[in-house]
Amino acid sequence: MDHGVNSACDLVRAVHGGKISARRHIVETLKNCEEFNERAKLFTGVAVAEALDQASVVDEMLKKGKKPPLAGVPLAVKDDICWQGLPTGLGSRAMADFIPPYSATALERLVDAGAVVVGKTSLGDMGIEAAINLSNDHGVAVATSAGAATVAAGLCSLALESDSAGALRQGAATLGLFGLRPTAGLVSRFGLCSGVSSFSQIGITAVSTEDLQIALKVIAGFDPRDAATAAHADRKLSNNRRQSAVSEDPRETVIGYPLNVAPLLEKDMSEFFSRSRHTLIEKGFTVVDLDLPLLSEALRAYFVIALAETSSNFSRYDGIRFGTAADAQNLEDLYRKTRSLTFGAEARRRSIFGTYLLGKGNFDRYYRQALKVWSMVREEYDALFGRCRFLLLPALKRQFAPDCDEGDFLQAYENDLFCASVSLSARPALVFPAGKLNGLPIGLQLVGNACDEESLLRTGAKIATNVEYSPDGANRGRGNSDEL
Amino acid sequence: MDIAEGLDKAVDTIKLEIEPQERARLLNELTKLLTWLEPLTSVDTSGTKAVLVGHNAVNAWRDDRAEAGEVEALQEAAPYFEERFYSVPPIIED
Repeated sequence: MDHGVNSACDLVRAVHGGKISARRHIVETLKNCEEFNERAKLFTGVAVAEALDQASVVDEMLKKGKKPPLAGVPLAVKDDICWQGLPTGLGSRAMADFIPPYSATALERLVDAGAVVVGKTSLGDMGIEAAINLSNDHGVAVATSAGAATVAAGLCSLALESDSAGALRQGAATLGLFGLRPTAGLVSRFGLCSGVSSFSQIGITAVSTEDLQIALKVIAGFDPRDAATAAHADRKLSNNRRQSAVSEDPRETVIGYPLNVAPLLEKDMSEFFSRSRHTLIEKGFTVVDLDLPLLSEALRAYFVIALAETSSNFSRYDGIRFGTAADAQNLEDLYRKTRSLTFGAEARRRSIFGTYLLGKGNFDRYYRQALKVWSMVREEYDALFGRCRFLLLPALKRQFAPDCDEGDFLQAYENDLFCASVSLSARPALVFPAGKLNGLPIGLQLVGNACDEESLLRTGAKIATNVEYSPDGANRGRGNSDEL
Repeated sequence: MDIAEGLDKAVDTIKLEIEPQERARLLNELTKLLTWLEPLTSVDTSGTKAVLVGHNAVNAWRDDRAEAGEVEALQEAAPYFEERFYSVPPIIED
């Protein structure tokens, strides 16, 4: 099956078969990345020397008869994931010039499997502001994720990205790609500069579910440096065969459709999502109607916890251990001046509001209440999954992330309505291309059971609408326009 | 404590400098945020336990004991080590 110009599995087949060397492909990729980066700043930097070295190592492995599963696959890495020796800036002056002395486990595993890091991708300040807004002049549509844009533009086959309230998923949905947020704890977060410790996960964006499957098998599993992965230490993905079995007969695949979602969406998205229910039925799937009554409360709980954790995590950015330090007379002065100098608008807002919510008199009212609602949301998901195998949700409330000006922060939070709720559930979610809306690609989200990524990917592939990628980076739907 | 007082205390706690204009904007936004959070505070959570960890992780315990040779290696690697103490240079000069 041909997945398009930048499919990882097609490329690996070509490299394994000796049709192209990893180095030759990476030389071409780097040239394209540098040219593209002059027009649209997708990368904070293209890692030319490092990528060529890695590609040569892959070719050497092939000469010795080894066949690494991701041989020569160009990989974009979000700039909040550490790679030893390459600057990791978090899009912030607070981390300027930071060069990590270690690499993230997930990234290390991908490179060991033959993937080649071509560069770190841009992100908004501290990874919490909208990353990029690209016009069609740049060959791709508006995106919230630079990593997704590198895949959509045909520069990279895989993008390794973080996802808390949905950055990865929304980037994939906006550009008609596949994006996977794995089960919480399945992929090590060691080496991820996380602001929201409870909900951040490392996931992957690609052009096909086959590509996601290969990459996930590489990065999933226990890591002694991340205790959260201990929960799945004895549960390797493919070992869970009973759960992973998906019938070829779509009627046996039960997909939950929450009836209370469409009214919460903006008009055109609402119509699109409503049509998706009929399309699933037409394709033969069994659709059960249900409700997610705590959706709005889940979003609010997410943000209370996220603000609180961010305020705590950001306290490490003091100018002493990382980044820029202001000229100061004493320690107190150093903290104040450095933070005032390096924190952007959203980082300031989150630090202040998070500290406020954790303060005396507010802790129980907001923070503890949010933790209890989190528990209720999990129970709600568990109950729903007693009635269905998968759950269909939008990834975005409106088609594009709003231009997040300073007065619009709540509108930006509201756009995470459907992703934040899934993050609370700790379940895996796959964004798949579902067609086009207003002439641009749009994706929907399929949520599955914990550690059931294999069947999630297989089912997602069955219900996705194909999107064709052209070498210049413009993507055009080739399925039924404006349909799932 | 009213919202403005709470805001000032939070700003002071995290040691951030803000201009009066930014303070006014943040106060307005914080008021909006608290209004937005009202539906959360009215959820009936009686009998519900708060989530303490984000996933069903199990601690991977190891013996609380240094591996053989680890302590000596650390002491040798330290630039300054006297008796039981590692000396580090001051970060901030007086």
